[in-house]
Amino acid sequence: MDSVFEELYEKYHDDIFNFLFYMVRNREQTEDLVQEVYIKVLRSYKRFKGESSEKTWLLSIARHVAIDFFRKQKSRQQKLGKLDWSEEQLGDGQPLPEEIAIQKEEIQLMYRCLERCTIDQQLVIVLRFIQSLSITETAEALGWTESKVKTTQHRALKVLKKYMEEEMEKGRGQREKVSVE
Amino acid sequence: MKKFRWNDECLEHTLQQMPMIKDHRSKEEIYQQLIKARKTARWKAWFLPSLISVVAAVSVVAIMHLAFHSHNVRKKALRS
Repeated sequence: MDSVFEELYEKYHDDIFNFLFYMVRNREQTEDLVQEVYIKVLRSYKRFKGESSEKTWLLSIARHVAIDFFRKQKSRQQKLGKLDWSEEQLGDGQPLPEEIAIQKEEIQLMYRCLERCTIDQQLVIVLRFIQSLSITETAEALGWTESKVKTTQHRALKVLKKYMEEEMEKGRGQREKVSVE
Repeated sequence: MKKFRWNDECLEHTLQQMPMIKDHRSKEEIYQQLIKARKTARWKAWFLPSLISVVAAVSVVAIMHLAFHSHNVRKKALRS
């Protein structure tokens, strides 16, 4: 087995898989994208200069792969005549992954609400809070300035708050309706 | 009715509790799939462009040959 692959797998496989899964929300798709990340990384590993940490370098490649996937998906859907792509993406098409389905209601709602955020907001939220990266590391992984990370994070939390309140209200409304009936 | 309010800390706390989603495949399985994928990627990167350039070169030669040939035929026809 390739020693570079082995080392990268041991150190970062879980992080890369988790990051890509939260972005694309589909296991098979994530498996394919992780593969693509490895191909790209193994091709350019010798050129890695160590200017940033290995982890943020890998995540930046994973981010490129994810963005590329969204671009391809968008053009494919446009070709199929589905013009309202955002609506399509927001649909409840994908079932909740097992790991989320067994969690408490708030976590499940958060997973749904996160999907309603823009791609940039999702990137920041996943890296900052789910992967626990610092502002500097997130900026490195995304190729952004630290201030862009901070503003995007601020906006993301604001919209997430709004979506969560909407969802909680909706849930409570439904529960009350059921109890009246 | 009082609306439920979320603050930033509450949100961040919930986000931090989101579970890690793990790959169900083994390391060996991933490596085998990677080797296969790399072969396909290499094939796409080398074989297809080379095939296209060979086809292009052959067509250029064929067109030139045809043009040259028809030019000669016309020349001969004019002479006779």
